[in-house]
Amino acid sequence: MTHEEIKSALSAYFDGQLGPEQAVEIATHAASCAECRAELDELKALSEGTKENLRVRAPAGLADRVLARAGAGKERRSLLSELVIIAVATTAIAFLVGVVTKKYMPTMFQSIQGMINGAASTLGVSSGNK
Amino acid sequence: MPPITPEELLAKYSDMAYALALRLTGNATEAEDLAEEALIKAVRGLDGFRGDCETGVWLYRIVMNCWKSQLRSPRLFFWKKMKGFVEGEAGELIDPADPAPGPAQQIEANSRREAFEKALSSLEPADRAIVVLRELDGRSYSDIADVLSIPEGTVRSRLSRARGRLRTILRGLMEEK
Repeated sequence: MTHEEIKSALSAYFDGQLGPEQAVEIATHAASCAECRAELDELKALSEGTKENLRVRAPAGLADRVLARAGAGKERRSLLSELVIIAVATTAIAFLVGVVTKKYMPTMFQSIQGMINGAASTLGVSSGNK
Repeated sequence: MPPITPEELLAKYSDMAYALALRLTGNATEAEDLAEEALIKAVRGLDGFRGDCETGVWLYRIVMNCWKSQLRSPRLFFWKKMKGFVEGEAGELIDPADPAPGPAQQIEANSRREAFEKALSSLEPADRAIVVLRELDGRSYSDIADVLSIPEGTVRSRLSRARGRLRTILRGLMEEK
């Protein structure tokens, strides 16, 4: 690598992100190149300065708010899914009871149907079971 | 089973999620909102996370995605424009009165720290994210590439360029004093 190529790879070398061959080449070059050594020193100072001056902490209470809001969302979703399951189960049971009643207790089925039709005509709507 | 519990996730990554959000938005209030949104998504999504990648990479990707959707939000764009934000080089909106006030508001004013803040705020948001992920979280170029969905070579060149820019600006600021 030329001096300029090495200079442009110093940042990755400093981070230990180069392959072993390139790293050895740069280390050998830097040992005899004052400019590259100075550049590496600057990279080190910049890195330390960044760590020292730019580290921040999350605002107080952020984690608690996240847990509370994430939990509330999950509870809402699980409550909704429970309601859907209950509604589906109730409909399925009513349907099965209807089928069983119609097959094994036709008289009772007819009288229930008559009651429903009567109630529907009182309310002025069609029961759909004529 | 997820590789980490919500409590462990928050204890380990809240600070970095906030640091990343702060450098992306350049504004403490927005950073808090962004970090909160991303962490909530992460906690809710933990059940579906099987550890296909490192937890930090997975979480920072969520932060990046939330930030990108906020940038794309026409409603947010409108309100920011109304509040006097100006458009940056990458199309992002920058608060001209407050380029990076978050930490400076929270911690006692310190000229060295202010100089670093000022220098970092001069970078594009994605370059700030690269610097923060590398310097504050020690992420490999491969991890950073995963988080930002860019090639590893791009991480290498952008980080090198960003460091060069930081050094130039810091040198200028130090000479001023």
